[in-house]
Amino acid sequence: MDMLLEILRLLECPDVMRCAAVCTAWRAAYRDLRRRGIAASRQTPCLIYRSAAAGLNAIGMYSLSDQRPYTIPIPDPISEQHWFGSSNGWLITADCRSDIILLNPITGRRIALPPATTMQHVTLVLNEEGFLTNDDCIAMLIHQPYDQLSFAKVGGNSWNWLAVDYTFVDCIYHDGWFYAVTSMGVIHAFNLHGPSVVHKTIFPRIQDNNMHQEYIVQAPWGGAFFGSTEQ
Amino acid sequence: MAAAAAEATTDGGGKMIILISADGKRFEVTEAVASQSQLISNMIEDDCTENGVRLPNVDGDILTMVVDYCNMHAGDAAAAGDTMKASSTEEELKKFDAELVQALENPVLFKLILAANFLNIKSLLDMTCQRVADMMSGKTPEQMRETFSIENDFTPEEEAAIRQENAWAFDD
Repeated sequence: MDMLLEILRLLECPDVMRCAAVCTAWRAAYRDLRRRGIAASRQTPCLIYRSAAAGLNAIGMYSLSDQRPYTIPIPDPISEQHWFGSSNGWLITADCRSDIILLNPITGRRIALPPATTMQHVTLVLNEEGFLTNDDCIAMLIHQPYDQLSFAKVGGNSWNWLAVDYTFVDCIYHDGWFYAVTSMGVIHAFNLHGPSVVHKTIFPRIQDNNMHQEYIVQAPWGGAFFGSTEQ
Repeated sequence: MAAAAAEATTDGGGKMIILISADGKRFEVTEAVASQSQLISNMIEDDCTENGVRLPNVDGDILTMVVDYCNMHAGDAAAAGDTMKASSTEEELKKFDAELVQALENPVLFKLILAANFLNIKSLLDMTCQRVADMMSGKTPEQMRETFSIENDFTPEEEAAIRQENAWAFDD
C-alpha cells in the first residue's frame, strides 16, 4: 500500500483521479493521499483558461502531459474577474473589489483572503451607488512610496499619477469630485471626468507634524466633513 | 553476477560481503557495491555482516537483478573524480537501466520494487516506481485494470459514484 502511494505521487493529477476508480485498494490509497495532503512530486504545468463553451460554471485545463483539454466543473460560478497567476496548484484571482480569492481548479475549493481594504494604505473609493462595476467608474489609489495618489479609468490603459502632493491618508468621492486629505491636513479636490485633470487645493496646511490621524467622510447633509484626531 | 563464495574474502583491497537470498543463494559483492543499499550500509557500520547478510524476503532471481544493478552503479562514486570516464559511464548506465526495467514482466517488476524498498536502494526504487507510473499514465481505469490484471471489485453503484465525483477526468 505504501508503495502504491509512492507511485501515485509520480503521476499527473488527472491520472491520479482515474486511478481512484480502478479498484477498492487503489481507491483507499487515493483517499489516503488526499487525507494526508501528499502532493505530487512534480506536475507538468497546465494551461488554465475560461471559455465561452464552458461558461462560468467550469474551468478549462489543457494538460501538456496528456496533450488534451479537460473541462472541470466548479461548484459555484466563477465570479472572480481577474486571474493573476498560480502557485502550488492554486489559482490567484481577484473579484471586482480587488479582494483576493485562491481557487483550486481540481478540487473546486476556494479560500478568501482578507479584503484588500484591510491592507495598509489601501482605501476603497466607491461611487454614489456603492458599486465599482459602473463602466464610467474611476478608481483612486493611495500607494507607495510616500502615500501618493494615482487614478485609473475603467477601460483605460494605465494608472495616472497625481503629482501634486504626498502622504495622502484618505479620499472620498462626492458629486463629481474626489476629495483627498494628506497627513498634514491639506485637502485636495480633483475632477477627473474631463479630458484633463481639474485640481484645487481647498484647504491649506494646518499643522506642521503628522501626529494626527486624518480622515474625510461624507456628511449626512451632503457636504464633506474633515476630521482630525490625536494619535 | 558475483560468484557465490563460502567465505568473505578480500579482492583488490575491498572487503567482500556475502548476501544470502530467501532461497539460500549466495552472492559475494564488495562493500562499495553492497553499500548502495542503505540497509546493508547501516549493517556494515554496525559490524554485523561477518557471517553473511540474510535477506529472508528477497528471492534469488530478484537478488541477482539487484546485485547486477548495484555492480553496474558502484562505478558512479568511483568514477566521480574522472569527468571523461564518468560521462561515458553515464550513457552506459542509462542504457542498462532502461533495458533492465523495460524487459520485466509485471510480477517481477513488483518484486523488484519491494526488494529495492526493503534494501533501501533509493535510485533503484525511484526507477522501478517510475516505470509503473509510466504504465499507468494516460490510461482509463479499464485499461489500467487490464495492464495490471486487477479485478474491478466496486459495485456498479460505487463505480458510478466515484466517476461522478471527478467526471471531468474520465470523459474522453
